[in-house]
Amino acid sequence: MSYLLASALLFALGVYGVLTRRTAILVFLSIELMLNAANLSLVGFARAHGLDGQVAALMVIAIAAAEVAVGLGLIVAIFRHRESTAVDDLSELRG
Amino acid sequence: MALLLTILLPLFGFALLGLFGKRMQEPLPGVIASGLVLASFLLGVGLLLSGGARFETEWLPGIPFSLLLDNLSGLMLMIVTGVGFLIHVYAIGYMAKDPGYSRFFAYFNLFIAMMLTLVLADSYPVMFIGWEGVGLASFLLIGFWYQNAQYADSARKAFIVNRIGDLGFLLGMAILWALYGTLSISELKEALEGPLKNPSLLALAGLLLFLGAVGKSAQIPLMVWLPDAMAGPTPVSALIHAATMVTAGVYLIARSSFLYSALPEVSYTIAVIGLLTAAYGALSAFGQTDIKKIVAYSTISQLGYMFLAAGVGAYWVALFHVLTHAFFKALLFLASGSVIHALGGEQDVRKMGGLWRHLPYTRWHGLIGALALGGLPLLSGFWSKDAILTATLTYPFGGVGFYVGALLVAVLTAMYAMRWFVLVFLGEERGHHHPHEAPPVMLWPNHLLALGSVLAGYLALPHPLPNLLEPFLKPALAEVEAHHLSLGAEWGLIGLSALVALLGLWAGYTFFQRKAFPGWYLAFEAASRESFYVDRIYNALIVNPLKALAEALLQGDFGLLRGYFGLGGSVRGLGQGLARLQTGYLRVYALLFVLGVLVLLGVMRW
Amino acid sequence: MTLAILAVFSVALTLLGFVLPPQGVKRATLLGLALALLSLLLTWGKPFAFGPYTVDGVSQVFTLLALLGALWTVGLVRSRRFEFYLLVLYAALGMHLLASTRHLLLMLVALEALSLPLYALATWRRGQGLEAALKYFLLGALAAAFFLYGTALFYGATGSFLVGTPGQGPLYALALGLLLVGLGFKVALAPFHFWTPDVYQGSPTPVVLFMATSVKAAAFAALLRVASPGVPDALSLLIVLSVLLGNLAALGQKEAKRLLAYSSIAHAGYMALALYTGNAQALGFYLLTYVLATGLAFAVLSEVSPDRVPLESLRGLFRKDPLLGLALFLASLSLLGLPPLAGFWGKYLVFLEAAKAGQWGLLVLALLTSAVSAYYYLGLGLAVFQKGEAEALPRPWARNVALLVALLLLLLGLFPGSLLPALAAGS
Repeated sequence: MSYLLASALLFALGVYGVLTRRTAILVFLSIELMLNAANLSLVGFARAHGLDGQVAALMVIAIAAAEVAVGLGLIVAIFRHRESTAVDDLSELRG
Repeated sequence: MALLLTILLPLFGFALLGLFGKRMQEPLPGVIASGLVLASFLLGVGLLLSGGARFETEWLPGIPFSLLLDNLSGLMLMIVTGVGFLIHVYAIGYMAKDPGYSRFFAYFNLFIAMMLTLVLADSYPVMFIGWEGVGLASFLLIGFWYQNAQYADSARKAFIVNRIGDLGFLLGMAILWALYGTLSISELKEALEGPLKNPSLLALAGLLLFLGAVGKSAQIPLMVWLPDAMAGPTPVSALIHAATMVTAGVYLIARSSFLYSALPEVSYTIAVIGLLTAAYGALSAFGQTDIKKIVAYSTISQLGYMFLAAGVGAYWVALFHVLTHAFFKALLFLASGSVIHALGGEQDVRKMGGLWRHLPYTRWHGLIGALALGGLPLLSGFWSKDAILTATLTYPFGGVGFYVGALLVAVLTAMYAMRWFVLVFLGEERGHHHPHEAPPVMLWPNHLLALGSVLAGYLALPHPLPNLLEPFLKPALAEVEAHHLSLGAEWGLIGLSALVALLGLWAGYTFFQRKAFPGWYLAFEAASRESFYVDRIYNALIVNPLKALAEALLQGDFGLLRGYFGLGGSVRGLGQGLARLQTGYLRVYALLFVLGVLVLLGVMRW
Repeated sequence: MTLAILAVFSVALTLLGFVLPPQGVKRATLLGLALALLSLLLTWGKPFAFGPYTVDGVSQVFTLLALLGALWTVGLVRSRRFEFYLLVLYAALGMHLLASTRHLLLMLVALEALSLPLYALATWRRGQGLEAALKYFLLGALAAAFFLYGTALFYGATGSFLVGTPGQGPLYALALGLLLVGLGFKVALAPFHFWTPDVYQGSPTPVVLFMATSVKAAAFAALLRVASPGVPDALSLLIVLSVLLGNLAALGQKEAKRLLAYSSIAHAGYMALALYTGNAQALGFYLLTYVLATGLAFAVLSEVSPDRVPLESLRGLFRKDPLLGLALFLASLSLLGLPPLAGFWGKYLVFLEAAKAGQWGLLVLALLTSAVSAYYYLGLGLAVFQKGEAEALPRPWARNVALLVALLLLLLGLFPGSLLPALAAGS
């Protein structure tokens, strides 16, 4: 149960980070935090349900790595283009 | 398959002209369009002579795509393609040099294809395709000169008013589906033969279908769109808003006669609405100053006659009037078109007059058309109108009242028909134009239509003279019990109606040649010119409440359409407010996203 | 078969891309997608399973739609860099996988496999493309995180990763809700739709075509599986918000791609109506008509400009190129759902499902909003007939496909029954 609580807390922290951080990198970092919160609960549930959850957590790490590859590439490209990664600078598309 | 081809031919013309018409030289698009309609006509007649046809294919789950050519749809097919062909030919001349020449014929062919779908349909959903399709074609053609904002508005008005009727059609279909589990007309016909399952619900379905007919055929209370529909080119008025599309409502009632003959209360309503509309149209025709609007109101009135006939159960008589009306009303419109053409676009009858000397052929077309409309004995309009009058008298529920009403309207009809003729052709010239007669390509269709206006009535002469039409249509229509008149009484009534028509024609002829009119007439004319303020009443009762709503957000508007668009504007304002949520800031999106998740989880049943 | 073909082509072209000219890669990609499509048709109606990879009727119908969109996109684009075609191919692979599994982890992998290439594709035009891609990426990652958390909770509640496993209790409900969030994001259901207008506007038009058609098809397949055993009752909230927001916000739009973005949100709402009865036939038909119509609209827009398409720039298109103008007109009428076009039957079937499920309130709202949508669809469709100076340089290939699809929209509208039995395989 404490695993679950910790994971929920971690997840909420991640959401809070997404909402409050201003640079793309930190927003992304917060999202990674949310993924790891999910991992924690997967591993926690694995105690009750068998090994599936642990395998899943490993897989999620791989997925997260793929996401990082694309995400950081994107953020670097944006930094090269406008010398800033503040998400609030990007609001040309709206309405 | 051949039956489907009658529809596909004009549809092919629509695609061909729509895609490549621009690259064709005048008059090639017109010739192609007319040729395809003629081919469709010949094919249809051939099929009819070989004993009818049927086509069915897989379509929707539970609803096949079925077409049926029996005598009833055959008659309509001949009217649509036959009269349609003549009007196509006329339009070759009338639309000459118009920048939208090929587009016009593309739409015209689309209309024919859709009208044929409507007529040939053997199930209500298929009929509905045609029903919507002719509405679309009518919308496109009324707004044909769309650069003129008022014309485009008229087109939208027609579309919107028709939607009210369409809603009735849809709901009526839904009830029939719920009751019988089929929408095939042939199957429903069989299903209705026994005792009725749920009479009150069935009556509601009948009323709702009739509402569809009311919209399409411009009956009270949905008649306001037809006069405005005159914004389209004159051949459009002749084909769509006189000869064919507006009679679709009558056709729907006749096609569903198996249903309405079982519903006397609904039929009574139809007859009452028909008579009221006939009177309203006739009275409103007196005050009009636009040459086409006079004819448009007379169309409303004549459609009222048809519904009266259908309401009293004389379905074949209603179709008889559809037939004769198609000829003389198309003739009247095309003659009006020739007059407008001769005067270089002038449509105001106050600036016409004295054209008798200038238009050696069109004057006869106008005269024959007006006399046939007025019911001069021995012309087609006389026979069909007389058949309606006789039918009302045999109607068991208050037939005499209907008879007297219809007879009075007949007098009015004769009078305003003469008013039209006198104002356009007689008297002194009031405009400053140099009229010139139309080219042969516009005259020949009129010659043939004039011939039809004289002769079409002889297809169904009163008893004991030969009547070809009634036995032809009988198998496709339901029988309604009516008491019969004695031979003497019938011919006495024919004499009476002939006398009344002559009286009306003579009164109209002399009265409208007067220089000054009595005061009561001027007052009546002023009210009639505004069509008895129906548009204004609608504005006050329906449009303005909507408008008030819209005005809170938007500046003031006038009229039905503006009100409609005002409502649209206020909704758009709401939408723009919503779009403002889309700030462009990622963190706002993320916040709204997370809020969305919380709300979603909040409303879940745990 | 389909999976193998897509995978082999993906891997092979990744290596060959460095030696082949871009045109060659394009042809090879087209070949791969076409072969995958063919293998799909050859095994039509025959279920197949390999571990958690299960090809059934639903998978076939929705993969077919996704592959059609991918083929169309590749055909429309002439890129100097071969990676573009590869990315589409990868995404197509992910879509097929997403449509063909009940396993949540595999779904997550598939979701990422289709999303990551799309993030890259969205950047294809620098400038606004970068902004669009970043928004798409960060929000997409956020949605994926919610989906993953939902997966974890689902596992906790049932002990299994297979959707459709029965369960109960607050944990289970929470899990379903979070899964709904993740997939709702992909199909652009409000309130998880915020990326849609910005990304559609900022991305190159052919890529938008891909996003609007294929992604929606694949994600709806997954949504169908997640929602089918018992719809989370919060779905009605998503539907209400989507049809209201999508249709109302579209009213004021002046840019065609943005307008269609809002329209796609509204359509997602209508499609979700079919989830109540889980009828794959109705949903599949709706998606088919939607893919054809919205794909056609974007295909026409991409011939007008690869970039922004303000509504004014469409004026006079009919005069300039009647076929393209007519195609856009028909597409918008079909999206509006006017008979006799295919879109009408899509709406009819889906609304029928809502009626069967007894969702009368939603049905009335759907009908009302679909009437409202007439304003902007007619505005879009009729713009081509107005006077103006539209520019268009259509390539013959693109024109022929546009003609074909426009005819298909009409034919399907006239004879929807001809295809329905084929789509029934999934239900």
